[in-house]
Amino acid sequence: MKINILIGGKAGQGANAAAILLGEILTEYGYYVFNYRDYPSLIRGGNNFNIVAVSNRKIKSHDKKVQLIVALDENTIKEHKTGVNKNTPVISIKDVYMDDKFKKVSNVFILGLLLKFLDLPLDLLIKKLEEIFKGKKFLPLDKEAAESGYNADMKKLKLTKSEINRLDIRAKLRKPAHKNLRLLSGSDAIAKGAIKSGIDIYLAYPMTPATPVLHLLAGRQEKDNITVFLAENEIAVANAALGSSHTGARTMVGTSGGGYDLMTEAMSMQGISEIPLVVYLAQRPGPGSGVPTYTGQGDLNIALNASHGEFPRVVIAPGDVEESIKCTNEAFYFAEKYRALSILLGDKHVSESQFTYEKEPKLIKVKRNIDLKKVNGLYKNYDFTKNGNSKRSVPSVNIVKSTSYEHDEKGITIEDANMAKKMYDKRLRKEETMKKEVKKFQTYKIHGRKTSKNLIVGWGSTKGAIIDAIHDMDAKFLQLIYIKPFPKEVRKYLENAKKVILVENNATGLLSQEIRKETGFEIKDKILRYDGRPFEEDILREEIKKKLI
Amino acid sequence: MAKKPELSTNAAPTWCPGCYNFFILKAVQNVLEKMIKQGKLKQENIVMATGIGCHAKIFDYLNVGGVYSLHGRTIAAALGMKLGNPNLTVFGFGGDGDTYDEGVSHFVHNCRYNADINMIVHNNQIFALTTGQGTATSEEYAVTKAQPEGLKIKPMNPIAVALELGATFVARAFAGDMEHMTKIIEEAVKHKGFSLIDILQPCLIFHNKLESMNKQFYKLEDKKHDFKNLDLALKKAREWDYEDEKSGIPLGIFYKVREPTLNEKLSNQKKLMEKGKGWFQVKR
Ligand SMILES: Cc1ncc(C[n+]2csc(CCOP(=O)(O)OP(=O)(O)O)c2C)c(N)n1
Repeated sequence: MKINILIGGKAGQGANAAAILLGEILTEYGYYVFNYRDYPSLIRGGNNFNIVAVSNRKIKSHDKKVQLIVALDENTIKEHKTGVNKNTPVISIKDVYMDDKFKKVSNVFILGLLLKFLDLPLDLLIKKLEEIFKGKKFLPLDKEAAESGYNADMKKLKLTKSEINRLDIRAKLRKPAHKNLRLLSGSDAIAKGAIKSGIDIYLAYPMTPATPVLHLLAGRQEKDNITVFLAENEIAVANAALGSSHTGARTMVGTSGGGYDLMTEAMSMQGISEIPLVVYLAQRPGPGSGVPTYTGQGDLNIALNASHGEFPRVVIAPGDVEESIKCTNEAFYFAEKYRALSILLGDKHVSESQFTYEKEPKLIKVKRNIDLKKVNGLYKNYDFTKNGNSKRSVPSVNIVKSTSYEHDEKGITIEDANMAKKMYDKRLRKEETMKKEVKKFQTYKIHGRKTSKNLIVGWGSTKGAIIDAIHDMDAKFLQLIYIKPFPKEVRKYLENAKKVILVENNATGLLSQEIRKETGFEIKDKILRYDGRPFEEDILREEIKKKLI
Repeated sequence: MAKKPELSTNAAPTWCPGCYNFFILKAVQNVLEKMIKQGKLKQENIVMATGIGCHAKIFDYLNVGGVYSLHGRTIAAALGMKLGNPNLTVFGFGGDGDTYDEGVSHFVHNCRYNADINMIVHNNQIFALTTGQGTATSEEYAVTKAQPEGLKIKPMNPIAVALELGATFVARAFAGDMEHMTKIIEEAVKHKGFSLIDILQPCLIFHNKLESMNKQFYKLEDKKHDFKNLDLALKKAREWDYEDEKSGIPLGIFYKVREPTLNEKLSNQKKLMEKGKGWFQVKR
């Protein structure tokens, strides 16, 4: 059982804030919540909405069909009371009397009303407001609005008794027994993972949907002693990051596809200079400026391949918040240990959705992998080691040269054929070493019925909808987490399945192309979505069912 | 006094014989040697960022660490190093193509940021390593293989631009005047904040106006120029437009003012400076 509540209004009316409050209240009450956020690229007006899905089952997605529409404006009804939601009951702000003084906090007023409706105690909301807005000037008004909404005259709402009964969460969902649940967005998780991994510097230029991480880390500067700097453009960001990392600062940059394109020259430079770098690439639909505030998985190829020359890199794609923390941690681990380029491939659907967060995943302690021994003369920054991984030192300890040109062991430019090949081979050896080390990590997961012969294949943010869609089906789900180095052993799952279905949020099935390249296996059945919207559980279930017949 | 530092690597220079880049390298080495001997600098605490071009080969020859960055990214890499460890002495060596064409956004914004970076532009008014095309500081009438009818575009005046953007140390030197150039570099290193030294550097192969320029040069200090006065600095900056062969070409420090640096203004950076630490020394 899953109940989906859509809350919508004009940008600026606080639909998202109301959804977050509701989500947090329900999560702390013990339910599993998934909060999907949908907003166009504008600052005031338009139609913003969230779908708060709540269940006593571990859900990570929302449905297309919602059980209630909460409307802060009339447009929300017009936009959403159609199609599968034609008969969905509506709580509209215009159907209740609200004092004019609550106009600016109508979202809190309606939340109070909603709580009454869901038969949940008002106290939950009051406590939440006190916790979040402690000491704020508007707190008393917020509390008053919540109370007033809770006690509003419900009779004016055009709802039937049976409609109301259908929404009684407490009656429908078994009383929850879970403890210590929290609500976390993918961006929260990336920022958390970075801090837990000992980030020193985050550099960025704003671009949706990577911006929340910039904001979150900027807000943590004092508490966690880090520097966040917004530079003049992504080219500056990525090249400055290499400078910063050269000095030993643990450095991460964040952007979306367009900004990543600008950064690619620096990724290539990372390849030859072997300066550690963590890149957070949060996808949105392209090409070009695309559909900025929506989601997609169209940037897999640039994460895997963009930048000239051949060099090792790690591409990791988390599918929820626990994985976002863990993958960020592993990205730092590889960058630091192998002086590697680690790309964290996320998207809007993970970064801006909120998930129920149960417990912190086990993390690795990321050690500063820096040689502090002073040497005479130039440090051998590119020592020809057997495993291809050279130790590094930093300025103020040694004289260290990092370079974008092909070089000798000390970082001096060379053009000699022998040395050029030798240095290339060193980096290739490092790639082999990294491939071995990656095996220690969970590079893929199998979800669902392990014995099933029906295999769904996907990566990243489709995880939630896929797991939810097949939860009562005869199917299992192969989720790829490391796309590079690619875990070739997944071939056996593909070959042993009777039916293999690819689910991707792009138009051409980019993952299936990569799978074909890496394993030779061709996936014929594909469910692709590329309208900027994520898969919903109910719609995806129907699509998978159709393919399984 | 510290012992004489070794400021040359073993790399064999590939600059053209007699190239003025040798003079710039020597001037930098002179300044570093003097300041290291005086105990004002430590060799391992000095870093440089370079771009790509003839100028950038200095990376292989100067025995200090740093990042041989991509074309145009000199200042971005330098800024990164300064944020990564605010206690380093940071140099940038760029070409005119590097700094005023490919990397102009970094030049513009770093004049505003005022991080303590010594930015030295080897301004030969040409893309030299790519065999002689016109740059942002080439003359409107200059004819090149890529611009056979002449550039048809007026040069940019980086001194005036830097002043307008708030750079706190703005100077011009001539690569052929070792003593004067050395002195200006030393002043820039001592200055806290973003320093631009635009060094006019004849390119013996592709852009050599030594003869006319020699007649045009004069020193600002000889004219008792007040480098604390921004309006006067701008007036002096406008005296030469980077193409006139008749007007005077002022050399020396146009402007110098002490203002808080970027690192001093960012609280966590300031803490690192107070502790004399880089991020790599912070326990996590
Ligand atoms: C992104 C990029 N574009 C073009 C080049 C080719 N390139 C190499 S050196 C150079 C010009 C250098 O001119 P300048 O910066 O003035 O330095 P100079 O050689 O004159 O010292 C160019 C365009 C490059 N290396 N990278």
